[in-house]
Amino acid sequence: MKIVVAVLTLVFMTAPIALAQQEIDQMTSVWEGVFTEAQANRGQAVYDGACGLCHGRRLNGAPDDPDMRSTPPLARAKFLREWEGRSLAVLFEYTRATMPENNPGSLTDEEFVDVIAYMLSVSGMPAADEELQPDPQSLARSVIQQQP
Amino acid sequence: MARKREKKQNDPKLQNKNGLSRRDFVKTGAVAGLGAAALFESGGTQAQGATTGAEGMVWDYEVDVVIAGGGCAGLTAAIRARDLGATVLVIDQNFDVGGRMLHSGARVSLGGGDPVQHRDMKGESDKEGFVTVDSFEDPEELDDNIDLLFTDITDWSVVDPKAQSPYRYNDRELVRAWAENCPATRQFLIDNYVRFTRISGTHGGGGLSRARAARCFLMLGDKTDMKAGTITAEDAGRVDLERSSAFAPVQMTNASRDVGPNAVSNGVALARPLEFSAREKGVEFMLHRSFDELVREQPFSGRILGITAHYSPRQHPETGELLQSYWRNGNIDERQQTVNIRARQAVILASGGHAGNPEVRSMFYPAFREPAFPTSGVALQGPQGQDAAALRAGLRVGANLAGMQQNLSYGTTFHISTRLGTRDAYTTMMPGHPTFGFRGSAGVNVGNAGFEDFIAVNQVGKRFFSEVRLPRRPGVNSYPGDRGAPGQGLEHTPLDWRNCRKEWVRQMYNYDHGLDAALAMNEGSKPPHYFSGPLWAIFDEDAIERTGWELRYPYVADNGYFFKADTIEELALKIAKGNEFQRMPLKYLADTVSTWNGYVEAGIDPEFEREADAPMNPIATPPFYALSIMIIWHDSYGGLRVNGRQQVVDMQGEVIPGLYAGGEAVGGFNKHGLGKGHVHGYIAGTHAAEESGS
Ligand SMILES: Cc1cc2nc3c(=O)[nH]c(=O)nc-3n(C[C@H](O)[C@H](O)[C@H](O)COP(=O)(O)OP(=O)(O)OC[C@H]3O[C@@H](n4cnc5c(N)ncnc54)[C@H](O)[C@@H]3O)c2cc1C
Ligand code: HEC
Repeated sequence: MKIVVAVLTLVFMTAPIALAQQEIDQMTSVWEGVFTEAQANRGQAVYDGACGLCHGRRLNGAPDDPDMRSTPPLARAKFLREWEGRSLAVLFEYTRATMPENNPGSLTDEEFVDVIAYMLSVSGMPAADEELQPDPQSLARSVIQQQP
Repeated sequence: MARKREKKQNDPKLQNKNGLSRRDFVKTGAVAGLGAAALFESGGTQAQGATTGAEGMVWDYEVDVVIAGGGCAGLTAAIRARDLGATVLVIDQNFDVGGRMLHSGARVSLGGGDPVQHRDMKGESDKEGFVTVDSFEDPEELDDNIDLLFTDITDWSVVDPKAQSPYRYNDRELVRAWAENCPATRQFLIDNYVRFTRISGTHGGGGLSRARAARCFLMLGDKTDMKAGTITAEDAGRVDLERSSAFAPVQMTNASRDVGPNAVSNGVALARPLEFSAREKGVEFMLHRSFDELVREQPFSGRILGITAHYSPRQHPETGELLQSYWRNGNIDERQQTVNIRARQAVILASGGHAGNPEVRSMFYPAFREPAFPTSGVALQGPQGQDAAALRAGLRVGANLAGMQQNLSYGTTFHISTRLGTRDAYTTMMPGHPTFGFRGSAGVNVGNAGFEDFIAVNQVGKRFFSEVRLPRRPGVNSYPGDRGAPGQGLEHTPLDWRNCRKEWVRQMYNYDHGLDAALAMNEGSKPPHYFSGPLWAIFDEDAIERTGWELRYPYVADNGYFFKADTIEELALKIAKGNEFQRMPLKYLADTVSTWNGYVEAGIDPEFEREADAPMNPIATPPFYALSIMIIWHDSYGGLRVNGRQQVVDMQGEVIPGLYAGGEAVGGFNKHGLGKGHVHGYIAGTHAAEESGS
């Protein structure tokens, strides 16, 4: 149960900077179809078992067990505001390093991107034909934005 | 088994010498236990100055051990006493067994080197092989012992984010006995069909040094079978997102990550196996029966001989039919208004706390006399579920109290719930359980984040605090994550003054007084009680666009906790007319909304600086909505004083012979819920069964 603070600091500080200018030009918005419907469905199943207890069935940060305290929402307006301007790579690295809070490291990278696809789909983003890949390089090209 | 006595043929020893009827006893003041008289049909006749002792009592039933309350502490005590050979009768005011335990999240925090800690340390599975995921915790974090547990739970140096140090008040004798019995209680639960997930951290006051909490689970299967550890998806409430079952009032959650594929969890996986085992072992139940009085040889001296209890039928909210328990074997169907039950060896009080009794609550926080705010689980439990029955009866035979200040230092004792639009706002429940009709709506759980999408107003329609800060609860001192001390787990140094040095406390202090503002007096507060009144979340159609809240049945209903109107004025009228606790018109509501809209336009809220916490949105697009916001008094900490054998102690420090208590009925131990209640029940059951009795 160890939270890798160092990893996080690194991710938050360096990820945006690490992008070269032409890569920034190639950035796509998460609203442009970055996952598939099947992937989001797989993500829902993972979410249900690994995240729902704390982040709630509706991804709004209301835990299913009321004895547990509220957590940050993982979809919709407030979540997007929180993550606005950061890339999916940052979200991926943060989540992979720290979540599920009671057992970080218990999910595979594939499962994490599937959950992210699910989070995006609940936020209203459209699905498309290509799956989101658990590869920091390509994730770094998708930027989170509040509006399409 | 509980022997029913025919009225006219009483035990000679107990026979009334004068041959009077029960009513005559009352009139002549021959019944001890003081208020016992109030129960009888004679309409409030008091046995004034009753000092003649209880030898004339007419008993309707007789059994070795009588337990008042069939929840967490009561069921555990019942099985334990029965295992040791006693005959046991459990009476419960509700129609079904399980108490709040059935409603709970089933996180059971024990420790001290308990069998699940050992299992997880070795990375082993359970004996049935259900647990297939790896242990969450490192072996060192599970390496626990009784001394460390005892130290942790009495660690004065641990300060919570409200700058309180709750462990310092824990009664040492009580906690030592608790710590010593934790490993045995975990094994006892396992032996009675309870299955535990992997351990993850601790829960509610379970200490900072080691990981000690596991949840309970069942496996989805073809049939519901406590011996096999399986439950159908339907009984578990896993088929339809909007349907509970009669078996599981709260839908069970997916526990696959804590166990393996198809595991589901919550209090059902704890309460139902224990109930099944108790019935299998021959424990008897008298349901729909509320315990009122303890019968003592003399009002303030001598043994406890038994209890009196009245018929408290719980009827279906729509059909009026008498509600029936899920399992019935071992039930005694007794509908007489009052019965007197003789306990040959002991009475165990396990009827929960006082969270649902506004008068009793007001001794801790006078503003909580406001009856608008309920306790958790009122639909399932009914209004008598947490009405301080044990406390009231105990005081009438001379019991002492303990930990009366400890309600004030637990994070969930009272707080503002994020579930809106239902009175039963702490718990979730869907249609399908027979008590759903008592709440009428499941409520909309908006999470803390949802509080930025409305304005919160009081009974006169005025805002009173930054909405965003209202639902925030300070954490309790459990490992990990709640910041009770600079170090957690292996890094925590127990009893170290640095844990509570003021520099650290300043750094981690995290409490907004939104709850106090919500309970504050306002223009509508009238003497003598100065009730603060209900609270309302007011928003418009755009908020629904932003949040995706589903304002439809079963989440909301026309039950006085949800309103919709085309204008704010009309909304205010509807609330005033439709809610049982709204005692006046919300005369400022329209002004408040237009003032708010002005703040939104200016980007500044001069009253509560809301702009600092989250974006502000206008309330301008009809229709307009109101959802109730509830302050919940969840659990109880102050209560009867007991010793390390769970025997109730009087004001002279003497044990009251034959009287035990456990769970939320007792005080002196600021530990949340189940971990406390089961061990109390285990200890009480053990000693009650050993009593030689009278
Ligand atoms: C939604 C929810 C989630 C929770 N989650 C957790 C959790 O994850 N972990 C945890 O540790 N705790 C949890 N708790 C708290 C825990 O359930 C309680 O603290 C615990 O059940 C208390 O045990 P008890 O035996 O004192 O009372 P209960 O289990 O409530 O049992 C009391 C019984 O007494 C009966 N009764 C009351 N008055 C009378 C009377 N006058 N005569 C006869 N019978 C009477 C009641 O009907 C009830 O059956 C939760 C509670 C709720 C409501
Ligand atoms: C045991 C409870 C728990 C579980 C399980 C859990 N989380 Fe969290 N999560 C939290 C808490 C608490 C925070 C807030 C942490 C903080 O603020 O330091 C959080 C924060 C987050 C955040 C940051 C949100 C923000 O905007 O700040 C993300 C993303 C996240 N979790 C994703 C996940 C995912 C994905 C899963 C499932 C794989 C998961 N969490 C499982 C408790 C949990």
